[in-house]
Amino acid sequence: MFEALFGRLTWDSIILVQEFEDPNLNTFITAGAAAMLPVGGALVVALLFWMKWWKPLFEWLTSVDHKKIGTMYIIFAVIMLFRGVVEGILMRVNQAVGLNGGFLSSDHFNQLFTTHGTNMIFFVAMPFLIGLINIVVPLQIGARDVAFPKLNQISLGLTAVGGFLIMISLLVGEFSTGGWTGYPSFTGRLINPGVGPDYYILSIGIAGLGSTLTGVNFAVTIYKMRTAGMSFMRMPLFTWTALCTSILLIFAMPPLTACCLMLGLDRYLGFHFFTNDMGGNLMNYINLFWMFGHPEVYILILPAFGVMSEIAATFSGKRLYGYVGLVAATMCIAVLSFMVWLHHFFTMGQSTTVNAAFGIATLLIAIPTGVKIYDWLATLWGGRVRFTTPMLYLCGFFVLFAIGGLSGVILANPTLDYQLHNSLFLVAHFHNVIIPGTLFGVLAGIYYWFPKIYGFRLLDGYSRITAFLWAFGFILAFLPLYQVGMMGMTRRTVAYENPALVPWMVVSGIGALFLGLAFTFVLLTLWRSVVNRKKLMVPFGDPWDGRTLEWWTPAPTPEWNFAVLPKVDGRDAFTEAKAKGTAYQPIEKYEDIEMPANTYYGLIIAALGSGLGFGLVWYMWWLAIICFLGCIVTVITYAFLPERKKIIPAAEVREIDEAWRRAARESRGVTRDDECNEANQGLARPDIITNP
Amino acid sequence: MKKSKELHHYLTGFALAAVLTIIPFTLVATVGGARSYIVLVFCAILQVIVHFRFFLHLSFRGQQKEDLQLVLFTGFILFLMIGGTIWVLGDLYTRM
Amino acid sequence: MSAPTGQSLHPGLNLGEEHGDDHLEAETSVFGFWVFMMSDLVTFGMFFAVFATTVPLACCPGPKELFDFGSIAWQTAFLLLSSVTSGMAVLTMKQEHGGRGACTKKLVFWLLLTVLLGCGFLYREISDFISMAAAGGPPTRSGYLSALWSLVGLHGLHVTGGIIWCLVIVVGVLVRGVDRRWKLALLRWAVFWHFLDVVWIFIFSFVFLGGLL
Repeated sequence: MFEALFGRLTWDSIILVQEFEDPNLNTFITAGAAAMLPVGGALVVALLFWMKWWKPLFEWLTSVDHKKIGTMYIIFAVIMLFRGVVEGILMRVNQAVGLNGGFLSSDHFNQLFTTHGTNMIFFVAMPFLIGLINIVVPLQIGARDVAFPKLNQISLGLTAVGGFLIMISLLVGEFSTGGWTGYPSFTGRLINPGVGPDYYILSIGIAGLGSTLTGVNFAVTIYKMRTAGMSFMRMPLFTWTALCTSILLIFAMPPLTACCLMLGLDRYLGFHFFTNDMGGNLMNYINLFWMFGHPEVYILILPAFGVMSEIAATFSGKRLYGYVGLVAATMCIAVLSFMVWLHHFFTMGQSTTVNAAFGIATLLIAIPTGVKIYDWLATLWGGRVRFTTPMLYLCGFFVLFAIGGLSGVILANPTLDYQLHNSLFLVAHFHNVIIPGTLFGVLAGIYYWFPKIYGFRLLDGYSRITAFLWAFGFILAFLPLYQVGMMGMTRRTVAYENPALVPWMVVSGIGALFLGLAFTFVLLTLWRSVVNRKKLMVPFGDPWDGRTLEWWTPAPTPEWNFAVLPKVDGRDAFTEAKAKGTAYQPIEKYEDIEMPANTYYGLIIAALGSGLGFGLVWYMWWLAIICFLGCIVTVITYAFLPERKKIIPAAEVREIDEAWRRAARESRGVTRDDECNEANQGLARPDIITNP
Repeated sequence: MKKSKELHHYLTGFALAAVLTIIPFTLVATVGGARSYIVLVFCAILQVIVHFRFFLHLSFRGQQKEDLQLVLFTGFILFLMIGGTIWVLGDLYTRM
Repeated sequence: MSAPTGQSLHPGLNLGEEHGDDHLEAETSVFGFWVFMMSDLVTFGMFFAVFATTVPLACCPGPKELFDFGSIAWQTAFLLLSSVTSGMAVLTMKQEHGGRGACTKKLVFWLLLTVLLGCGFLYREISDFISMAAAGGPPTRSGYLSALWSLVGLHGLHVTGGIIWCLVIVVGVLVRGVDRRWKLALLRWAVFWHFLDVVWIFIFSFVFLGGLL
């Protein structure tokens, strides 16, 4: 009876019980981390009661507003980033003292590198980027929301399910030890029958579905909902990169869904896709996984490139150089990214012809990336460059990402890769492109667009310190790993024997601590900015003298984005309007605005999805079946419920919009010299324009 | 009249698809052999085109062009992925 | 489809101007579904790719021992006919439900006929699976069989989903009438149903007939 109810879940599955029964350093660390879940949860619930925030919380969780959904993605990413950074610090510090064995057991270390990778890619980087895309793209194309707002909410819910599963694995059971790549037959039923790989398959499989739907949503939004006059070649670069990212999501997530399904069939039903015998072939998994995995890393970098484009133009006060080249390069990168996946497994036994073909294709992908970097540099050239925080991130990106890209070019050569594959050189390479690339792009984008959504800037001083800490921490933590990799140290090993590696490992460990400090400063910046928000308010909505449509709304942006959808007749339409003096002219006609109403749909799917995942992991079939049927019933029920909409009356829209425009016409605004001080109310006074 | 034209469209598609189905089935039942395989491939691709043209109404005109472009792009991606898989796994197979 | 240029807003049969705003609303809805179908196609493609690179083992039953030619022919016929009946359903909706809704009996007839044919397809497919397993060819026997069962099974699951969806639409149009929501649902369902036949073309050609050659 118990077995039917609890499947293979027992008391011993709970880490706190394990720590109690058999305490050692590893269980202590894990139990400590796991304890944060119920403790943190209790604190949050207490806070909600204390501040009476239940109603606003449910208003947010049932919202289909792209700005709120984007914010929730980013909050989710920050929480998961905390876990990811801690895991990284644990590993680096363990290896700093890891000569002949660190303080972590190998099983613990293996779980750490698995959860670190899985978490960072699926539950930090992707939600950060998808969050930014959610917030910015509808505004940049002059739309009121995305094409399918309810689907957007469901995508968030499914991502949260994946996050739930990887988090609950801390407390109940354990996660996979097979790396974020999860190769069978190690993760197959024979060698690893436990819950770890099942948690892995279900968390990334379900989250992957959410990401696919996001890709569909944004591809349709960008294709069909651009405002009047905005042809494809008038879209801002961030929107272009969002479009290409969406295309990558649509076509690259299915291979992951497929290989997760297949591994699941192997593990649950005894199929022979990837077993060592009976006709199974693990190379099929590796091939499928990387067919997803390579476009995935371009999903991670393209939106960051988009942010860099926006920042290069805005903070040089200049039109983006080489728009057409940048668009073409983005599209080339998107298409080429489907042709290079084999470079992730050069060493798996293919002939030199196959290796060489994919190696050449990989080298080719460096070219459009180079074009982009030169275009951004050319944008800065001759402009009036302002070294604001986003510009600092861009400069850091120029130097550091270039190193990462070059190390990628080294690895693209199969001959060299045979020496460097699975060494710390590889680890250094991908962190070198993700941190100065994706992370810097995200942080720059958050600093850039935060005032638009929340109506106040982030504190300048704190933000700069944060930027320097990330750069410094990254340099100390990861650049030594290139050297260590070339000296022969293998990745994913808990201990090593060569004493010559120790000084490099120590430096790297210190760097990891600085990265932890940098993360702390992110939270600190946010907190101090909220506390000081009155001095940082930018109600007019254009704190940086922006060029694109999203800056043409008040801040915080009202739910409907634009009172009247703008008509554009060129790129950088807002800059042109400001130059002509027509940016804040009164509008004659306002109409009622129809917006989709709040719904519980996404929340219900998230709850049921979590139950489904948990039930499948622990063989609690009754739970899985009920939740699965529940999902079907939910979908069918919502098909019959009347579609509710909110109507915002024209009078209300007129009142808010007219007040904003009038105040803007009557104010002087600030030049860029006062951009980062209290005088900046979000209105830009015409400045020296070098190249409009 | 437009109504009957739309109907004829479907029925034409059905007739073509039926023919393109009967041919491979007959070939496999009677002749067999490697040459049948090529006919099989041809009939399959042609029938897919018939389905897209007559049932899903894709064509080279207007908005339908964009929808067609999406299908062609998907086809290209599938060619890369499936073709690539066959090439890589085939290569590994010959070396094992 | 000889709709004049500019009148076709999305893949599949378009409602046309008599349906007013429903026709315009359909553009985003059906195009979005079309894009989703592309991702589904790639998922199927991956199962195909794995199938294509898994060879039958000497020890275990292979295609020639397991495939029932007649049954596959029936399944193909059922599915192709159901594609036509689904088209008839959408045609009925377009031609008779523009403006104020008309009698839904004809529409429901075509939809139920499609469901019947789909069920016929599934019945034969499941029977085939049962006899394959009985003949020593369950999916747990070899990699080839795993790939075969999962590819064909995935398609069968999609057909099952399509049948359930169709029945929901039948209930919807009977209970709520043929309003915009159900028109759009029907358009999307029809795209889905045609896709299933397209995927089946590849399955019967390369998996079944190819295996029998």
